[in-house]
Amino acid sequence: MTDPADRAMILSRDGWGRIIALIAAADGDISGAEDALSTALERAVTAWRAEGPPDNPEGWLYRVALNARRDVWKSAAARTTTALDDVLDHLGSDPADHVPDALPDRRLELLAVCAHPDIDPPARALLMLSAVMGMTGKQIAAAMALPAATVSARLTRAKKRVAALGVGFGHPDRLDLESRLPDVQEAIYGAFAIEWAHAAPTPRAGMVGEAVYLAGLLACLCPGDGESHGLAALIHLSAARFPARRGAAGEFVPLTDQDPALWDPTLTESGEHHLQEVYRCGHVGRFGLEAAIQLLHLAGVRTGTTDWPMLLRLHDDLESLAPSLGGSVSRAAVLAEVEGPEAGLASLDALSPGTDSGDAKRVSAFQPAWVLRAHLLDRLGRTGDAAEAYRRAIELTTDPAERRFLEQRPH
Amino acid sequence: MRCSLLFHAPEPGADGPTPTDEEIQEMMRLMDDFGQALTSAGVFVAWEMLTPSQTATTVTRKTGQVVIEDGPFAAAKEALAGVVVIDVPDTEAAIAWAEKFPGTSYGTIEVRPAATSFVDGAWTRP
Repeated sequence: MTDPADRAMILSRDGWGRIIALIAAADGDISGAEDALSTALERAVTAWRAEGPPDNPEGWLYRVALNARRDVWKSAAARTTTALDDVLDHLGSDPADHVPDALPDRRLELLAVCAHPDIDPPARALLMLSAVMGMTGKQIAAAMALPAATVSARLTRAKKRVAALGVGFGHPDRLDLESRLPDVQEAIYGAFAIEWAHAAPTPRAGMVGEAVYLAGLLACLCPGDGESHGLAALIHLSAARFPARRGAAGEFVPLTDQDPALWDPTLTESGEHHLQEVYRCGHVGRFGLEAAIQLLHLAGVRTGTTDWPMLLRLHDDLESLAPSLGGSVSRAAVLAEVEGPEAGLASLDALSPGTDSGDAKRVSAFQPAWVLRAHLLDRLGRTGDAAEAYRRAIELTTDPAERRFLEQRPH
Repeated sequence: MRCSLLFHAPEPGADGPTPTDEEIQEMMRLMDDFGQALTSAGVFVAWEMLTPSQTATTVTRKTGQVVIEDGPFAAAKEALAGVVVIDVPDTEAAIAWAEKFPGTSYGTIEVRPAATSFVDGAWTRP
């Protein structure tokens, strides 16, 4: 870490996405922009070691990357009818003297393109990691626990689609961007949520850091959008609890038994900050509500008293805004705390199979519903029924740590 | 209830990039995690990953005499690549496990409950 060239390289990382976005904005060619950045990075390794890092590493990288890209454009223009001037116009004046902060930031447009309806939903987050964070296919594969061949095939296909959209995204329609935001948020959330469902013996840190970065970036690029802050709040607060989810021996630790001292204070603080921004924006959407619910739970564990009536109100709002099976089961758990276990059970019973709760999965196969049912039956003293429900919950549990946890319960 | 998770995947050498050694190692690690999870849950019966279908030999006596032939009959894009047999209470539990099968990122799992199984020298109904 002592080598100034290495340090400059690390510090420039944050700018990689900006450089890719800016260059790709001209013609929509993400692969081309990434190649140009790679060329610039390769040259930087040699040049910065030999001559010392430049005062403005990001500007240096941008200039070299742009020149590399121009060479490609010029040879393309010679062969085809590509209107080089149009492409270059997108980039504005000669960037040679640009300071990083003066570089136009096209990352929001790039994110929106990654979440374009023509791009397969599973590829959207991969594309974001590649284009906006400059991650290689191999790094993405490792983070998402996918085979690298699958990732590279999906990335190649997605980048071809983007290029085939035919236009650069340098002149985006503001309205269009806003209508894309939910897809951008969904893709980032999807990349994050996949990690919580993984069937590994120990949870992998995986995508958590990347999702935190992307969500934070989106909120920073859309400071006036409540849901972007809501997503950032939700992901920060969930990620904060990550170190506390497993005990020293790898055992499952439910939220109520977690040690708040193990929660990451920087992440919880950022989460709270983003949640305040949600309220400042005056628009609370699905992610904002889920973040608020998380924060109330965290506060409850921390102080020993949970504001259940407030939680119920938030769950009611969430149910009317974005109904889901998982949400309904959580609401039933909260209802049980407010009105008693019978009310919680009744609410669970009301989620009969076939009810269209916005979730294809059936209640009878939904493990969290059985865990809650068992818990509520236990509280009502119906130990026989509770044991039956625990048995079913265990049958449907694939995570070894959670299975052990359920098996060890007195029933 | 015994249930077979039939894993169909593209044949090696089919169109698409060939996985590197590193990628194969990575997938083996994920598959190992899955096997450990099945074992610790007590549902594991057997798991075979198969050699490519080109190595298959078919045997039939449909015509009255024994005919032994090399190779597959159909040049399908995907072929049977593995079989995981688990013993679970019902199809819903089997599907919960199938969802966690790492190979679904490049292939397809077919969940098929056993109609009857030959176990310890006798046929058993589920």
